[in-house]
Amino acid sequence: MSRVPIDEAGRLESLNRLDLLGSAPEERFDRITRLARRLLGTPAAVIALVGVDRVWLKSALGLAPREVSRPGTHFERALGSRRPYTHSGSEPDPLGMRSFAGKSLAEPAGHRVGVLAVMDPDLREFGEDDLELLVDLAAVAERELGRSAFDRMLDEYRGHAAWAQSVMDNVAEALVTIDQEGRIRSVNRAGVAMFRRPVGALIGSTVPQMLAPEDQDELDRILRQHLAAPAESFSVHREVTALGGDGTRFPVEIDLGGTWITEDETMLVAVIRDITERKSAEARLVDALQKQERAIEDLDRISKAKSYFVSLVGHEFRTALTGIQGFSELLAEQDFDPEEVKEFAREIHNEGKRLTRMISEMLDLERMESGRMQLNYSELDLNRVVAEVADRFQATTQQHWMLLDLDAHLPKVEGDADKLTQVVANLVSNAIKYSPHGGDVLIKTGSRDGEVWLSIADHGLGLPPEALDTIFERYARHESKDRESIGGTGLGLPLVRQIVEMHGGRVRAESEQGKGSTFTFSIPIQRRE
Amino acid sequence: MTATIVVADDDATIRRLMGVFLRTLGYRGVVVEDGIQALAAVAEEVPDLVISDVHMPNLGGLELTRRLREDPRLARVPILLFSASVSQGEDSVWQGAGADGFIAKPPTLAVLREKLSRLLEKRQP
Repeated sequence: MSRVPIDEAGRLESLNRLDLLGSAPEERFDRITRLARRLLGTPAAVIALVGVDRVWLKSALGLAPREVSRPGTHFERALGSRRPYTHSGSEPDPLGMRSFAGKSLAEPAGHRVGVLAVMDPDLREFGEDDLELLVDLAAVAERELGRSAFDRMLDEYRGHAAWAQSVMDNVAEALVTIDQEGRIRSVNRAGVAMFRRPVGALIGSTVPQMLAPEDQDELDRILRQHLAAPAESFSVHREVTALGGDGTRFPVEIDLGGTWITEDETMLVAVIRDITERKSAEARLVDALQKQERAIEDLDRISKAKSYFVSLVGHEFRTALTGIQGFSELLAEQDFDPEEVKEFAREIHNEGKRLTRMISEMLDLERMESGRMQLNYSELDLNRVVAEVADRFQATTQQHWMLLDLDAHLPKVEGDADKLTQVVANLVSNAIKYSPHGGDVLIKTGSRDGEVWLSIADHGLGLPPEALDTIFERYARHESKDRESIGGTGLGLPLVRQIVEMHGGRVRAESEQGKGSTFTFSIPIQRRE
Repeated sequence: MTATIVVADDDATIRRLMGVFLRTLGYRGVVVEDGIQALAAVAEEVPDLVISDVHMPNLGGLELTRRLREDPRLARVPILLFSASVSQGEDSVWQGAGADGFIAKPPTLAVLREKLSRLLEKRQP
């Protein structure tokens, strides 16, 4: 009998890993003990697992107990030997046996964890044949133990794999592993959802193939570079545009890193995050900032325009007041002949009217803008309005010629006669005012698509393109060197726009600097509620 | 001898008013509409004084003043600038242009009388 020192700690760890202690009987072990009992002709056969201080009988035929105390048993002695162990004695052991033949059982790692034994309450001898049979059967039992160990490992592996899969599937980011050829080896659930492509289409393709064409080359280059030098650990961050299986484009950020698997194989891991939300939040922020900037610019512009307006109105009022104050002072100071007195009184009266007109323009605009003015609708002939206004202005100038090209079949429109007269008068007045060297003023009318239109064209100073945007805004009277001398409150065109828009119409200006301007407005034939 | 004064202003009412003002004060007024016409008038006859509105089409008062100052024949002719814009009344503006004084609109007879007589006296050798 050879006794070999046993690594008790390693042995017990292996025994525990088998997870067989205290487990229910299993047919695969019972089959072996049945064979042993029949082949060796003993009443009892067991497969015993030897613990720290107890022995569990995993399979026991011809014996009642499921476990016994370990110290001093034949199981303990059999365990100590690689070779079969036998004992025969007239004194029965605690199990009532006088004859015992056992062979230690090793698990796959080599640790002896149990014993296959046959026992007899009577005295008997075990021959060489018996022991050979016992060794063969022990080998079968060891294979079963090995299967337990393998099942256990497989369970553990499956557990790890399920755990890893569950971790991968429960992260919000797409996790993609890439093999040495640059092909996608695995992708988690988030990745499948993000790219809106079946797993089968993702596995085996490449990450660049999931991106918008303009971003493919760069990522392809990065992947190649790091696959070619796998030993270097790296981390790359890129924001690119991804391409969903349904053709949608969306912004993603990719974190790419290298992970060792074995000595000569590298797996790359890409973590891909959909940043649509963040991008749109960023865009909203930028948008809000721009809006704020524009609002500040608008305020600034309005404030500048307002102070400009104040000085302009001051200038216009003082000019009108100069006539009133000057002529009245003359009348008070000196004697003039009756004709002159009359003339001065007329001057005072005209300048007074000019002031009145400026004030009422300001008030009109104020009331219209605050919605406190109602239109006084009637059916009117725009051609007649044009003819009256043209006559009135022709009488004030010899340098300008009013040319009319009016549509003889112009439908009558519903509108406020006084206000539309004011619109035409303001436009004609502007045409004359901004043609300081004289020339034609061409007024045309016509109808189209349920609207009538009117255009007034002059050959005056014209407007630069940038002025066309603001010309209808209040206080935005356009100043330039050649125009600065021309008086006006800057309220004429804002009034025109207000009145036209109150009629449900539109007004626009076209101009070429130095060549003249054309103002066109259109209003619906039938009043719109 | 009656002093001749050229007045340039684009506003017809103000031109008529200034005509009567100057006549009342005992001056001969030559009234024109803008700086170009003023240049034509002074080319024809060197006046004793020029009154010019600042804002006028074609040629404004500031530029007119500069041009008059460049002409040695006219260098000694006093120039009064004339404006309804308060900002133009700042000394630096009219002095910078080379004018001799400024009158705010609306002017009174008294102010005009005082300024004109002072400038015309100073001019006498």
